Order: sequence, then structure tokens, then C-alpha cells
Amino acid sequence: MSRVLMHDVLAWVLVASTAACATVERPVAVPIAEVASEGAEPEAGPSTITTTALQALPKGYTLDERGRRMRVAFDPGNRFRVHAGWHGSVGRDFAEVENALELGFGVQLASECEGHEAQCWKLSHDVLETQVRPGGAGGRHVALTSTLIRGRYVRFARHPSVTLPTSPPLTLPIPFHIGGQFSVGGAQLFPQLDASNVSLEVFRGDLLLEFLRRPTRHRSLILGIGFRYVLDLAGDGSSVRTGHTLAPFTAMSAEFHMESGDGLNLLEISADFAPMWRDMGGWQNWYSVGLQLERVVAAVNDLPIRGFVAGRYGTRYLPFGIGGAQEGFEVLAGLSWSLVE
Amino acid sequence: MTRSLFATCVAGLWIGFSGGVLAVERPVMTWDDPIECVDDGAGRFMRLQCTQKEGRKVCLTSGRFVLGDDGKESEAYMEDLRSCGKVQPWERLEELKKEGWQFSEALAEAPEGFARDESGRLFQVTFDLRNRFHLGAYWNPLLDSDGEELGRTQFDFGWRAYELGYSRKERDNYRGIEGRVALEPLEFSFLAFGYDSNVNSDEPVFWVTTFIGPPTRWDVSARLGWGIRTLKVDYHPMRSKSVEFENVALYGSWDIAHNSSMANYFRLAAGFAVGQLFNEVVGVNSEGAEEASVETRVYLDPLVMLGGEFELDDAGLHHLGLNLAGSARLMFDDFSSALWVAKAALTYEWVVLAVNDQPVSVYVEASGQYREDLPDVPQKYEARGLLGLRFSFWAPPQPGGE
Repeated sequence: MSRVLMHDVLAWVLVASTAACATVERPVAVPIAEVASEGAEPEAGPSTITTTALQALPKGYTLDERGRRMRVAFDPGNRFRVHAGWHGSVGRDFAEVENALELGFGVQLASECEGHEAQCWKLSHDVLETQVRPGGAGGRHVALTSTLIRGRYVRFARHPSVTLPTSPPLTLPIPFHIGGQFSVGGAQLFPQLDASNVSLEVFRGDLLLEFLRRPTRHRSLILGIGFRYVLDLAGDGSSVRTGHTLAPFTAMSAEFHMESGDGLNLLEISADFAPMWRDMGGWQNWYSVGLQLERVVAAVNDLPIRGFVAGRYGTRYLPFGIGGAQEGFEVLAGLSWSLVE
Repeated sequence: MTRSLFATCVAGLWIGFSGGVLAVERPVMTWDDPIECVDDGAGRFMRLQCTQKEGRKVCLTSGRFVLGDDGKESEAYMEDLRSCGKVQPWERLEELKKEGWQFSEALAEAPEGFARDESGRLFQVTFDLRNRFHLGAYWNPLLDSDGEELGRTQFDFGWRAYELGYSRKERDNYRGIEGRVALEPLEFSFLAFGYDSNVNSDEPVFWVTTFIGPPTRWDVSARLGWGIRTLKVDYHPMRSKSVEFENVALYGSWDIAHNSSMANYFRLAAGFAVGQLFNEVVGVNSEGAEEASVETRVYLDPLVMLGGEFELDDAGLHHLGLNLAGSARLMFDDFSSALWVAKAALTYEWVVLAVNDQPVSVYVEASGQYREDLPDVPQKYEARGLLGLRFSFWAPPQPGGE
């Protein structure tokens, strides 16, 4: 008996190790002629950069004519980036343009479906998205916008449907995927006010409908409706004044996202409309439309530098209704560099 | 003095243009292919270098003695011949003829950097001027804030050497005992020792891929080095009454471009220097009489240098140099404002002849200075030229594999 058991164990070990060996991707020797950077002639010319060599490269890489490896595809959904740019804002009357330098950073993490799965989750997170504009109000104040975490979860289904609990159950096909989105820990400082005035977006949650139904996240068209709660705080040294702003499932949003397969280009168009209730001022309608374009212009050590332009027109949020509901344009143009991507 | 120097320069140029005595089209035995010799034991001796190229079997032949003025072999051996691999009897020539080898009289082989004339005399034809000691004499006209001085004479001397490190990845450059003396009025400068280094890296420090147009990769290599300069004296710079003593200068450098041996380079360097400026100050003593005294000011120079050296030909006969340096001089007794010191020099050196294989070159320099630190003439500028001859000693042939 024990001999049989021993035999079985050995057989399993053998099978397991053989299977493991069969699935290991062994490094492939690539016959690439590396040459000196001073322009010396390569020992073997471009003809040695064979199809085999290109195939041996990781996905998203290629070889130049001197055999040097370089990355030519990127993933803007997974990156830690810093950015710097010019921020300009102007009121609806275009009376005075306010210019500022904007610095920022943030982490984006995303996953997508493999494509062969019938159902899976498409996840994306933005962590510590932060923008700082020093020098507001004649250099005295700082404008800051930061969000601790924002998560978006969309359920991909090859054949999306809703099942009604009838007898027998009735399955109705639907033309969209269903998902959800939340963000917590938003904070905002305003250039018009000092740091004792802060606006906290305590929580935002949305129900999402995604209409393009791709397993990847390179293209999406999302409509959402949700809840939003903002807490305004103002301290005068001895007491703290509070203000509450609420969108009770009245915050509607639309977003179209498109990026090229190699991640070099990205386009995002968004629109928001939210009737909001404020404890000082009652109901107000907030809205905005925005456009964002990104393009990889260079990469340093295979880490991409993107040029970007973002524009937004809509309501500007100010705590306690300072100055009433203001409308205006905002433009941000600059460069971002992914330290990890 | 000036006139005689000028005449010397013209003579040198004429000799350089005339090209010497050579230019005879004869095959030359190579240094690397084997040599065999035949000897009849009765005084006849022939050196052979047999090679088969493109189906032709050719034996180049030469003797081993220098030819005399009468065209016959003298008793003097040719210098630096390679030794014979084999010495065989004279009958070997007949065997070679039977095997189909053809014989052609040739010039004997010469080591790298040398050539032989028709008589078999050896002479150096390439020069590594970065390994030498030199003496020079020049005509030195200048124009400065005080006026012009066209009849000046200048002499200079200096030593420099370098060492290529393992795998030619590092290069150490040394210079020292370097001085210039200008007469009427007396002005001199002297540098005791200078060192700088370069590193040639195979791996780029970083690379940039551009995505405007087809993706293109640009490597930025580590061409970093450093340098030091110590004990430098300038006596009456720019015809002032000051003496400048630089204790030490330290700097880091980046070769924007250089060739594989790092001998030709274009470099950006930045660092600092510390020294003293001794100024002659004329004051009035307690008795009302004028009295000269020396004021000592200690300075710190944050300095930036941009320049390079370029050999314009493989033989090392033409050299071009460029040096731009600037510093915002800070005086320790008054740190509030900087005094600008800027220098620029463009040099060209051309080896026109060699005496006993020691090269003689024409040297031309155009330079300029602007200084705010000299008290007798604040905001002083100067432009000067140098034209003369340099006599270099112990300059070896150019190293191979450049």
C-alpha cells in the first residue's frame, strides 16, 4: 500500500514538475549587435535584427536600427505621474484672465478583462490625485485640489442582461454594462481664500451605465447618476463655521473616454449636471463640460512624457456661496511625466 | 625681435608648404606581415615579404642598409627594422620564382607613426602633441582699455601628458610646469599642475525616445569627469599692478561630445577656485607723501568653462582649441557683489616640420579677457593675439586605433 502511495506521489511530483517546466518562458538569446554610442560601425548590421529578435521582446517594445531596445506602447491607466503646467481661468465675461503654475501628481491603477471571459470586473482607481497652484491672491494663497481615492468598478458581461424574478425567470438583454463609482477624502483650498477655508468632498457615489461594452478600457461611454456630499469648513481662530452641500442622487454625469491601443493618445470628454442643495442658499444647479487630450511626446528611460491640454467650462465651486454661483472657463496645458508606468 | 620672429614663421610656413623630399611611389613593406631573409654568406642579403593578394603572388624586397648619396648601400643599418623570421640560403629565391612568386623592390617597413624615405632613413610623420614638452616664441600684439601695444614678444613653455585607462574607458590628462612670459611690460603666468579626467561609458545614463514622427531613441551617455588645477600665478595680468595667486580650482566636467579615445572633446565644466589677489595700492602716509602698499584680497570663484580640443587630421598635424571661461568672483571681504571675470581663447597649431623627429609648429591664438576685479582699471577688457613657433620635444607618434 505504502509503495503504491509512494509511486503515486512520485508520479504527481513528476507530472507537476514536467508541467511547470513546460510552462516556463525561457529567455531567448537575441542576436542583436550592440554598438558603441560614438557611432562606430556595428559588427553586424540591421540584418541581424531578425523577426525572432523582435518577437523575443516584451510586448510594447521594439528595436531601433542599431539594435537598441525602446518602449513604444504605454498604459495611461496604470501610472504614477507628476505634472506641471499653465493654468488659466477666466470668468464668463472674459474680463480678467488669472494665470497660475500648476503642479500635481497622482497614481492610477486599472485592470481590464482578458476578452475571453464571459463576465469580469473592469477596475480603475485614482489615488492621491493632487493639484497645487501656488501664488493665488497675489501670492498669499494656494489653490489645492486633492482626492484620497476614487474607485470605479464596471461589470463586463459578454451578453449583458437583467433577469426578472418571474416564473419562469425572464432574462432581458440590456445595451450597457452596469457599474459603480465612489470617491472619498476630497479636499479643496481656494486661491481667493486662506487655508482656514477648506471644502471637503466627504463622499461621492454613482451608479454607472457603460454603453460601448468593450472588455478593455480603451473606449468607454459612461452615464452616471449619484449622490454627493460636500462639507465646507471655515475657521476664524476661535470657532469653526460649517456649511453642507448635498446632491441627493441628483448628480448626473457623462464621460466618453478613448485611448489608442499603444497608449500614446488619450481623449476624454465629460459633462456633469447636478442640482445641489446648500444649507445656505437652497437649491443651485451646477454643471460643467470638459475636454482632455494627452499625447506621449517623448520617453526618458522608457517612462513617458505626455503633453496635455484640458479645458473646462462650468460652475466654479466656492464655499458658503462666496460671490454667488460663478461660471467660467479653465484651461490647463503642460507636461506630465510617469515615474512608473 | 618681432621682425626676426615673423621671418622665422614665414620660413616655417614655406618649408611646410614645400612638402620635403619624399613623394616617391614605391610599394612599402607592411609592419604586420612576416619578414623572411635570404643570405648567400658572401655579403648579399635580402629581406622578403611575400603575400598573396587577389591571386597575385608578390614578394616585396628590401635591403637592410641605408642608401648613401651615391645610391649604393652604406654601412649604416636601417633603424627599427623588424627581425627576420627565417634566414635562408640564397637558393630560396630560385625556389620562390619556380613557385610563381614575382619580386618587387620596395621600401622597408616602418613602425606606426613613422615612414622611410627612398634611402631607407626613418622619420616620424605623426605626432601626439598631447604628450610633449614645448617651448614657444611669439609675436604678441594686444589691445586693451589702456590702448594698444603691437610690438610685444611672448615666450611660453609647458608639459602635458595623458594616460588611457583599461579598455580605453578612462582618460587621465596631466599638465604642468606651464608658463608664459610677455616682455615690455613684464607679465607672466605660471601653472604648477593640472589634472582632468574623462570617462567613456558604454551604457547610457538615460535615453530619450521621441514620439514626434517615428519613434526614435536618443542615448545620453555618461561622459563625466573632474579636474583640478593648483598653484597658478598671474603676475600683472592685463598690464595691471596686481598679482593673482590661485591656490586651487576644482571642477566637474561633462563631455558634450568626444571621440573614442577622448582626445577630441567638447566639454562643459563647472566648479570653483580659491585664491588671493594682491593689489598695489598707492595711498598717502601721515606725512602727506604718496606711499605704495599691497592690499590682499581672498576670493572665491564659482566658475564655468566651455571648450574643447580637436585634432583635425589623423597624423596630429593640425590642432584646434577653444576655451571659454567665466566666473562671478566673490571677494571674502565683500561678499555682497560679484566681480565678473571672463576669458575666451581660440587656438590653432600646425606642425610644419620636424627636426630630429621633434616637431616644430606654427601656433596662432586669438584671445580676449574682461575683468572687473583689477582695482587700477575696473571693467577692463583686453584682446590679444599670438603668432609664432612652438618647438615640441618627446612627442610620440599618434596612438593607433583612434
